[in-house]
Amino acid sequence: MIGFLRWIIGWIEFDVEGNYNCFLTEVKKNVWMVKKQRGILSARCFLKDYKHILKIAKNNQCVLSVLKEVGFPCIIKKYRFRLGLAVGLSIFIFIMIVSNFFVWDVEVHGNVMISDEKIFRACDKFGLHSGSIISNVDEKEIEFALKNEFPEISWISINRIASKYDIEISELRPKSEIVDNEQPCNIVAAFDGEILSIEPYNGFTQVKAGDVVKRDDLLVSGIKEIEDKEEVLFAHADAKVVAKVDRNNEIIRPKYAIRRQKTGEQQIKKKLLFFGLKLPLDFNKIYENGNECQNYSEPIEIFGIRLPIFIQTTVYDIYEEVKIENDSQQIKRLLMYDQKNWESNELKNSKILERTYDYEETEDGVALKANCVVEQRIDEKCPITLKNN
Amino acid sequence: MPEIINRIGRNVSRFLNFSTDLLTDDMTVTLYSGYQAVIDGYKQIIEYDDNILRLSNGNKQLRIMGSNLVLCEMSDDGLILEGDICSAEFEKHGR
Repeated sequence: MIGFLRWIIGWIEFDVEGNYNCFLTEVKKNVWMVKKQRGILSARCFLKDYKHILKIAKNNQCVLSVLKEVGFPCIIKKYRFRLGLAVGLSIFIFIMIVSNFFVWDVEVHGNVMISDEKIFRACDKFGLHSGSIISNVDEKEIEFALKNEFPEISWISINRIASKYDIEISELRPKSEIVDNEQPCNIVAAFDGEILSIEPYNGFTQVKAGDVVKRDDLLVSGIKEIEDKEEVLFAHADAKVVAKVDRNNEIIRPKYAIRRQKTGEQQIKKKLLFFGLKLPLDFNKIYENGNECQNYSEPIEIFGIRLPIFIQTTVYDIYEEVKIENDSQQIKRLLMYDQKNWESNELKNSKILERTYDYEETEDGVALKANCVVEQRIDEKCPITLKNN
Repeated sequence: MPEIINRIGRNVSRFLNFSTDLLTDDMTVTLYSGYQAVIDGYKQIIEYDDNILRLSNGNKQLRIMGSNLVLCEMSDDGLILEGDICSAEFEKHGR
């Protein structure tokens, strides 16, 4: 430690010739490492004390000769004409100090349903991104704004660690449906159909198997009037009603379609992002109209530390529009594909008893009319609103 | 410090079981296994060479013999000596 401090101040090693005993007594507090080697006495002193020691040596008829100069002041003296070094060092120190006032990195943790990109885009909107000034970032305000922007967030915390921001998020769990078994309600028909079976669990049944019902017809009532007692009973009606239902679907596909397809050509453009500044790395002209592009940024890392410097690469795929005429068979195949998708979505809880498909060709295209006879549940709860008199 | 005061200081130190250098300006030598010596209370370097060092505090002289002796650190009244130290002797001033 003492050696390092002496190096910072700078010291000189010198030889002493002459009657050095009295000289040593006089300079004892200014020198160290006094030794005699090969008959010559040498010692060390600070640069600033050398002049004073020289005077004392002269008074004691001693002659000093400098062996070496060591220390930080010697290095400064050696490079004093290297202006570029000084300028470069100053710029480096300036950048190091100034960069502390900017945000270097933003990270998100804890999000599952909400993607990182959405959160970063939202933070960007509210002024938190790599390159923004730290003093302009109000963590509380941004937390509040993000909570309003994303209702799925139950808890959020933004913490700053030096020049990096960490966003911790906790998302809401989806609410499970609470069935209110106290509210009086009726069971009505959701579709037209012929009732195949009815299993009442609660309420007063109005129909039986074999009855044909229309949409919104009452199947199980939640109200019963007792004439003798002039009383009305309310119930939360519940039942399983299965009926045979006709489900229809119509899909139309045009004969001609305009398809955008890639030509296979790509154009790549790179930019350097530095604290919000975008510096182009090339000057090629880009045809942006009608081309899709992919954007991605890669941060520069040194020894695992992410710097606030990004290389943004934008890839443009060039597309062209082509008019395609589909033949009838192809259109029918596509229509059937669409119909299968509809059946798997709409009729997934039903048993399909019968299917009929009719194709109709028009000037514009081909239409598919599908009729499916299915066995499905048609019970639907309809709450009864009571007025308080 | 006059010798009489030093004598009084020594007696008081002995009585109170203190080390004498606290109340006197005696020269003290602390030797570490023959490679380092810490000397306090000297006033003047009478002689120095790579095999001998002679110091004085006005009353007594200290002579240290050895080889490759180096005065590592020095201050107004103390110094650190390193090297192969063979002996340390106190002599009355003038001998």
